[in-house]
Amino acid sequence: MSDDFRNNVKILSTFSDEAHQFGRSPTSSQNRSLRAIIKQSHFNVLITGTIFPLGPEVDASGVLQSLGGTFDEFGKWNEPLGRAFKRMLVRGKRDEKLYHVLALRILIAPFVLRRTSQSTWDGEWVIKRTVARPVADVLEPYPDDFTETEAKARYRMRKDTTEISQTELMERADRQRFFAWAPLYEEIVRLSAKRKEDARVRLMEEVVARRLVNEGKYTGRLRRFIALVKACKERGERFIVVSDRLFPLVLTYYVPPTTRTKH
Amino acid sequence: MLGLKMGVLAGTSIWRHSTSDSARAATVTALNNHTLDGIVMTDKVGACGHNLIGANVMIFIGSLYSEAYEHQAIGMSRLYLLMSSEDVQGRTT
Repeated sequence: MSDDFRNNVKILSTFSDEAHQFGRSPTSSQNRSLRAIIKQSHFNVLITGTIFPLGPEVDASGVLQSLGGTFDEFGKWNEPLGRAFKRMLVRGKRDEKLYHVLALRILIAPFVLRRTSQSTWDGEWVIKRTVARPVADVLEPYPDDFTETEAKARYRMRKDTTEISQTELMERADRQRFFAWAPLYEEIVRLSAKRKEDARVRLMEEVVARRLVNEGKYTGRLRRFIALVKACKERGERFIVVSDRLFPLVLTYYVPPTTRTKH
Repeated sequence: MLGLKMGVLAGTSIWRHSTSDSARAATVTALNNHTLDGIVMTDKVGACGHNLIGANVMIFIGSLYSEAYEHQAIGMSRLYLLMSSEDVQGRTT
């Protein structure tokens, strides 16, 4: 930060969204910038849905110093709040007998605003009902006993899951549900071992383009998806398809533009 | 033929769509000015600060494996979860 900025710039307020991603780490460059700016700022707000991702004992020190500076005379904390935070949270200074999560909660309560869709203020909803989070419609696939049953049979849940990692459980579940979307996924699984992600996506594209239409029959899930997209199109609506896995995106991108369904 | 125009927002190139910042920005702009009918995207890219105000329906393909992620990913749009009823109960199948 230049002397010119330090001496001649005044910042009225700062608002930092998703603050937990950088506010808890004193060594991140983003946080160093934030701390330099908040020194110049009169009013600072951190916005986050997960204020202390690893728990208050680990993260409170970093987050609070990102908000109000250090817990000494150079920070913005009034006494005895700064001294209390310093004794409770600063590594090397922490008094284990003094640290207590409830005490910390009481100390931060005056400036931590926690609001949910159920919160009210002065008799009114904080979040208006009209903008509250909608409830998703769960669409079940069209009847498709063949692929649904086949998917369950091929990727059956093991009875003893004690030695299976969460990743392995998710992998099995992915294989089962993607097979239910399109049985051609089995070929992708078989051929994609040891391939990097880009190569796996190329393989997915190649298999989908080669097999999807030629197999002549779409699964109940795909037919349901196509019907939904058609309905959106007819209503003049635009849609976003979201998944945390690439295969459904490769598959659903390929289906709508061509719509070579025979159903 | 529906003749849909589709875009992609993902960290990995899908169907030859570029993953560059400029390509992403162009996709978001095209969706918002109604040039595109829809896009496919990963949940991670959706958390990158794009303002996707041009779409009014979100379709989640199955579960994101984390209820908290799902709640955060859900916006103001009309919303569909495409999964079987068993998926809803187990959230992992």
